[in-house]
Amino acid sequence: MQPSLEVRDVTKAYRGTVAVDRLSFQVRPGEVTGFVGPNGAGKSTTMRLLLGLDAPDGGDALVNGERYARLDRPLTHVGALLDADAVHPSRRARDHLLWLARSNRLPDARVGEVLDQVGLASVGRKRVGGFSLGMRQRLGIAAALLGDPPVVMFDEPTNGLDPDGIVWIRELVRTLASQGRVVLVSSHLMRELQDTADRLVVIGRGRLVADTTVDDLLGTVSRDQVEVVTPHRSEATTVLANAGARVTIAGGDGVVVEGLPGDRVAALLGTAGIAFTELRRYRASLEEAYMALTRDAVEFAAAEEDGR
Amino acid sequence: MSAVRAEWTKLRSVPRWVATFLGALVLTVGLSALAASGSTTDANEHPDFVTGPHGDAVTDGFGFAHQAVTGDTTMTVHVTGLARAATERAESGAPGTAVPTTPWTDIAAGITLKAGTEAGSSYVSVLLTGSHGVRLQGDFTHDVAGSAAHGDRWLRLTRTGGTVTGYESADGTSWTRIGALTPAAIPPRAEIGMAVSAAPVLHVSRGGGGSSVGGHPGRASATFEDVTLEPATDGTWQGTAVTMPTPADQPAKVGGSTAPTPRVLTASGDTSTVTGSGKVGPQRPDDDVVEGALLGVVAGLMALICVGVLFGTSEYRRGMIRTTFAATPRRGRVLAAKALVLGGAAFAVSLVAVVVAFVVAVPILQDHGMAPPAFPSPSLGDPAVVRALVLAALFMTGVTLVALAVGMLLRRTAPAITLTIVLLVLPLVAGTILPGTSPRWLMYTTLAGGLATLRAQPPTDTLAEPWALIGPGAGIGVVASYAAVGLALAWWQLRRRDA
Repeated sequence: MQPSLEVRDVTKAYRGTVAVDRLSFQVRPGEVTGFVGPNGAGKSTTMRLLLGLDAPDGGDALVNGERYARLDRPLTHVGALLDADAVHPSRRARDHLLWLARSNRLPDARVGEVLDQVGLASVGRKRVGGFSLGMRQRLGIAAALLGDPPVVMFDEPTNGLDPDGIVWIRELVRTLASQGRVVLVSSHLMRELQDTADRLVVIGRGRLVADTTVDDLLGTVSRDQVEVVTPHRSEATTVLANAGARVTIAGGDGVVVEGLPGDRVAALLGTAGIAFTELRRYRASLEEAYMALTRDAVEFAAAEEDGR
Repeated sequence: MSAVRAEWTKLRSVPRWVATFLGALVLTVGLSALAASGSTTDANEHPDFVTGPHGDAVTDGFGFAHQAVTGDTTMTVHVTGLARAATERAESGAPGTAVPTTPWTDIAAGITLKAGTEAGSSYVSVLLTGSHGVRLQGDFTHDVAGSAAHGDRWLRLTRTGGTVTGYESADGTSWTRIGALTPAAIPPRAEIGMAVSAAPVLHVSRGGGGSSVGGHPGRASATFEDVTLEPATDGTWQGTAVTMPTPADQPAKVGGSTAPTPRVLTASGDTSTVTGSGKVGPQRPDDDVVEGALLGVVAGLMALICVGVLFGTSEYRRGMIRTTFAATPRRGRVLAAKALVLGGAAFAVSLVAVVVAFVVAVPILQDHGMAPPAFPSPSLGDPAVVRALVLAALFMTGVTLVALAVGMLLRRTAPAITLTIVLLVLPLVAGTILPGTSPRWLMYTTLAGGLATLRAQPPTDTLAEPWALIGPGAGIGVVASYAAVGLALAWWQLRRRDA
């Protein structure tokens, strides 16, 4: 059976505050799926629901088609990093992994293997209390990999990591996906996922905003935009705005033009005698795409509340 | 099973918890030794000290209308009336609560075969008691229960060789055998006759942090009819008041003993009335050497409570419980594994602690006067000692499990430790302050009752410590109930709540 993570119409409220609202999505194997949304959007809640830690008020959160609580030796099905701090500080790193291994009848030898894999072999006998946040993240990832699971779920894995660590995580995540695993990585910063994720599940206020590939998302947001680089930005802005375009000032000497095709922009500027050094299709960053999406989601929600 | 191995790995891998377990051991032993070296008693210098045929401390005082017999003999009597003397009833009215009687301290009338009239000599009696039915007793230690009759009964005592058999009857024709005893040292020529005893009536008043025991001598009279002796002798009945020796350094007291003693025997026709005062039975002090050697348990418990609570609350620090439940989604299984691992470790540590405390503290107590003959010398092989040590370890285990349950329920360390200690200590404080026997219900309903497991002696109303009011079975039962209910509540909450 193909490994999978699936959320079907899941709703969860805490003391009347809705954290996840009729959310549905599916994560496929073999690619990295980024799970994005602003802080408080419901990412961690969704992961807790998938791990059976919290019970949904409605809907199903399924791992490999099963509810988590029904899994035998669950660490061999799903590895999750939820909170790198969730380790007793007085325990040695080895012992932390050892009790986890024993709880799922995994051989003790796996502990040494995963410690090697995350680069903590030399500090396995040290107490976790003395670890940096980056080391604790690595320990949490080691715990997730302990059962060699076909599904992995990392909640904000790059938090507190130095640049080396961030690069390491990206490579690890890509490797895990290339081995055919289901990989779900959450972040509140879209740019962290820009070079890593193949697909994106974007949520805001507990609802699904987009479930798409990275390329499609960028395409949608960047549609019909042209960037012009010119030393005469104010003149260019006036001319283009008079022609009906929406013009915004970009970085450097650039302006971004929306609402006019590229050849029309070139013609208008030529007629007005405004020199420009560059004219190209504008490609938004993932960050901007995400801002646009979540802004819509926030406005949509606000409008809906007003309409009630 | 895998959950148990996981929890065991968790428990042993936090050095502070291991250290706290060792601390519990050291505290239990250390405080037991310290408490032992601070206690003193002069019980062995008690002036009217008498030992029985087995060398134990005994009391021996009763009215005896007797004559000498040799060899095998059978005596039969019809006891028609047994009552406390009117003078005694007038005296009662002391403050406090009357201490309930036992088969050894009730008023009694019947037949006694005794080596002689000196206090402490070997004997066998068949007795009709005030409220404990018919008893066959001997040598201050053996007590065989007969029927529950009272007021009017035929009694018979038969000596055949070294064995003395007791019988009872409602009508003097159909007889029921009660039992047979082999007394330690009754020579062929011995005294047999009618005996009446009445133990001193004790009143205990407690409260204000201590207890005080007051009492007055008991006195009872009984009427005997149809007294027969086979084979018949040509002797006559002689009245003797068997009494404890009056110490040389304590000449005749003013009051009690100088007052004219009523005649022991009054005969009119076929009816004899015998009057007696005093108690025939073991004279064990209420103070318990085993309990005295284990008082450090209370200190050891403080350490165990901390480990128990932390083993639960540490899961809720930093959300570790999520890692735990992600690894083992069956939450009931996690709780059971936690209880099993913690309970096993606590029991092992506690058992070692109480055994070492016993071995260390008993010699100290004996040096301080709690020695034979006034106090029995407990040894590790005595059933009562084994029971006390095992139950004490189980008591400590139970409290540790209560601490775990409270920790899991409250999820925060400081309130959980506070609550568990309050459950244990507050009833003790209240129990020593409250008057009367009211602390008894506190002991039946709170963790403090578990301290009753430390005692090897039977429960008693006369001690200041409230847990002496209840038996060890009740004590461990209370603690086990708390642990069971606490863990059940924790399980119920784990299932219901999000992690």
